[in-house]
Amino acid sequence: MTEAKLIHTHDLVKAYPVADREFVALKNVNLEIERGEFAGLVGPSGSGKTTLLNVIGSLDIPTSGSVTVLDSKIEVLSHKQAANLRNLHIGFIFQTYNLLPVYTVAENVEFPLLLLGKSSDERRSMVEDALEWVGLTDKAEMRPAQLSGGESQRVAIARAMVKKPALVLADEPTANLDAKNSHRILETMEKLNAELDTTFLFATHDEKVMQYMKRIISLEDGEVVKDETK
Amino acid sequence: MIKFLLDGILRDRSRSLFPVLTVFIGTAITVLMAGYIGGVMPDMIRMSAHLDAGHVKVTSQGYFEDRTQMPLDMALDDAEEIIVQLEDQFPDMMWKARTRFGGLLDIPDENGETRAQTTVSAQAADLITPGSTELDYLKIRSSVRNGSLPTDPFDIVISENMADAYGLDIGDMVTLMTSTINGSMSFQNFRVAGTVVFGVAALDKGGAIFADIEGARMVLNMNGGSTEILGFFKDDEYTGERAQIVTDWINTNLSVEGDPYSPIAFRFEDVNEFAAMMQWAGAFIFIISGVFIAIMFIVLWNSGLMNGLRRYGEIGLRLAIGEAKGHVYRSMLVEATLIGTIGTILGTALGVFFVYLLQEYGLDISGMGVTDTGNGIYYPDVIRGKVIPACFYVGFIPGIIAPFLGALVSGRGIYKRQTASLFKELET
Repeated sequence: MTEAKLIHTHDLVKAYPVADREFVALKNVNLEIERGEFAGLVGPSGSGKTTLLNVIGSLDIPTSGSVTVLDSKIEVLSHKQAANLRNLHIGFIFQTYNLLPVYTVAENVEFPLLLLGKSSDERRSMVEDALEWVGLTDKAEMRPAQLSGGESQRVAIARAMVKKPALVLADEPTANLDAKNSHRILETMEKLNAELDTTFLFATHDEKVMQYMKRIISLEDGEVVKDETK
Repeated sequence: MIKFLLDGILRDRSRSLFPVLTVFIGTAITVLMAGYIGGVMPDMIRMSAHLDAGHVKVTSQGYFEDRTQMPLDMALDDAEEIIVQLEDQFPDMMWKARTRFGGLLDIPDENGETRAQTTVSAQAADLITPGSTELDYLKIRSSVRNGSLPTDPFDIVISENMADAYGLDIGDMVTLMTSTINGSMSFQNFRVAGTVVFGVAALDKGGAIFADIEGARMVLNMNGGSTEILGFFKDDEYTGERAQIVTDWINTNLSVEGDPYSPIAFRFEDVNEFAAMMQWAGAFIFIISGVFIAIMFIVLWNSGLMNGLRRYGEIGLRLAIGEAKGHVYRSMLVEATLIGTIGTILGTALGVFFVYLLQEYGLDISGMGVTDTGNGIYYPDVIRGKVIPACFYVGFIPGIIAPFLGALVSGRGIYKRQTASLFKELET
């Protein structure tokens, strides 16, 4: 995983059947994202941001064209191989946090490590590190219900980052947060991007988020209409 | 991972409480049933053998064919000689002659004139020989309500119902009119030594009397004979295999084919409907396990579907972050097995506790009128369970299988989940 280009799409098309016709969500998207980027997919609702995240995250396959993520061709991966790619190399951050309510903060963060088969000692150490990155060491034994929205999203970031993935995909991560918490979350991710060289790819239409992006890829009707690096 | 799942089960009561309760109740009932059968069947076999069938029953071939008519003329007239042979051949058994016969009992007034007459059904056995087990096997010793046990060949004990109905007191003399094995009429005076209440309808019915075998032989003119010889294992533990050895020997060495007066032997389970009942009892644990597997499977299947809906987000998240569908499915099965194990351990503990109570205190069902099935099968008045080894493991059959099957079926939905929809699903 030393190659600079982390993500490469070539003539990516994603179409869905809608009733008796076809809805094309992504039209010939050609994109290259390098390791360590802090980039955002922006655009109005229905522009194809989430669909592109889905395909890059190996949750979906392209209708035509190709997508290579960390040297893996998404279109040829089996379900199991795709799951393995996500498990090993990709972290996800959702708008609604999606923490497991019956587990503590530490256990939520620990969960991806269980899937990786890490030893108990390794897990403990990695969870401590992840909680330290997001400033929640003192909340390790709390349940998600005891946390604020901002804290919950920081736990979600720790969960996504704990396995030190090469790529983190975040879909509207600040949509449920107030301005103060949004900035704090973005600062945290910016710091992790710098310290761990993790690539972050956001889907957002939030101006606050866009301020932090070092590269903004604008989508409209499934096409890349602008790609600018700050 | 198992610890992670177990923590989830223990903390999320809505996930675990209902399935655990279902397994707990199902398992407890299964264990209770196993303990009930384990206790009642041996008691039922013991009681029916003592009262009626013996562990091995020997009659003449002709008597057995017409046994419902109790034909005295087909009695074994050399019963005592056969008993000597059998005692010699099978030292681990004891052999008892019994005779059933009917007659008319004449009850006199104070002047010796007939005051009343009633038909009676008599059971004759060795009631007066010191050390005879018959007083216990026929439950007479424990059932005497008034008077005493017989001490003379011409003493009888009668049912309390009969004594009440005819105003008979202890020490009263009555005359039994019957026919001998040769068909001639016979009269004999008997003294009422005692009255009995068995708590078993068939034995307490109005016309039941119990006489000593020697007195009956004199009345029936069947010296040394009897209608039946009952063999009992001295340890009082019946098994079909042991009894088969005995009946095979008798039927090979004493029976003459085609001779209606020659003896023929039957095992306990070959008399009346015992064989079917014993087979049923043997299969009962499997039947009850099967029934509870089916019931709990349906309940837990539905519960699993509901849980799948409730945990839709959790499962979606797990798929999104890279857990393979097969792994999620297997973890559901492991979770179901853990739930089954917890429920089974708790249910087994409760079931064994109830069986223990049933074993120690019993349940008196004499008032329910179900202790006699009317076909020679007797249930004890007080049913008692028994904590048998099966009580400790039988619950694990339905307790583990049912939740596993429930999760196996309900969890298939995981494979229908479209990962492409996860972002949308997880953000609503």
